[in-house]
Amino acid sequence: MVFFDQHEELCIPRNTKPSNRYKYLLARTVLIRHLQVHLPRSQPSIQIESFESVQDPEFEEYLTESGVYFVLCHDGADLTALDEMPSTLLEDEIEKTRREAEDFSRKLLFRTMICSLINQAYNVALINGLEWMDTKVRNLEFLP
Amino acid sequence: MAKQKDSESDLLDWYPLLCYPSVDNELTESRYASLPARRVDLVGDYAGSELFLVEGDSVLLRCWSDPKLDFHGEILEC
Repeated sequence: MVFFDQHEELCIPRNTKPSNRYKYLLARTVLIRHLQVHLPRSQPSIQIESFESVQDPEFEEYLTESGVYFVLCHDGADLTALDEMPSTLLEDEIEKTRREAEDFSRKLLFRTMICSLINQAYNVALINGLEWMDTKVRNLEFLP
Repeated sequence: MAKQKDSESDLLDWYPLLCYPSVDNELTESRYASLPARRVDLVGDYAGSELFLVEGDSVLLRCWSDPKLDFHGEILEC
């Protein structure tokens, strides 16, 4: 499992109020630390790594050395409706614009990562839209 | 007027991701839309027990987007 510093805000779901954002960022930091401390003992076959960004040369080196077969990630698509603003106050219009901009940024960063990986000839499977059916795990996969 | 100015500067605080250098937005979206795709059974038909990489924030977003998960404390307030 790989985390990117540049992607830290991507874990915050749509419609999250600005006053609640810190909760997700804190939980993210705690989870990463928890995994780094406990995974090597409990599940040594699962590695957890952290890099600056997808373009980090250390990440590219890690990809090459690890020999991964494909990458599982999100593409930023969200079927949850954007919360309706109850009034036309300027603050609500700005908040609505902020959320739309956030949505756009999220999709763009995820999809930039996907395109970058495809360009390096890695297959990418989407984690959103995973279907668990009996013994099968079906999802959408992009090919280089 | 002062209040509107503060709101505008707050708005700019939420745009850092849009200012990421060297990203051509339209090119990325059109490239993404043109990617060939198929639905596969990851375990049975495709990777089996091969090593794969999971992007961490993708997992977190997938899990935390569940509407039954309450990070906002509203359920506890009821």
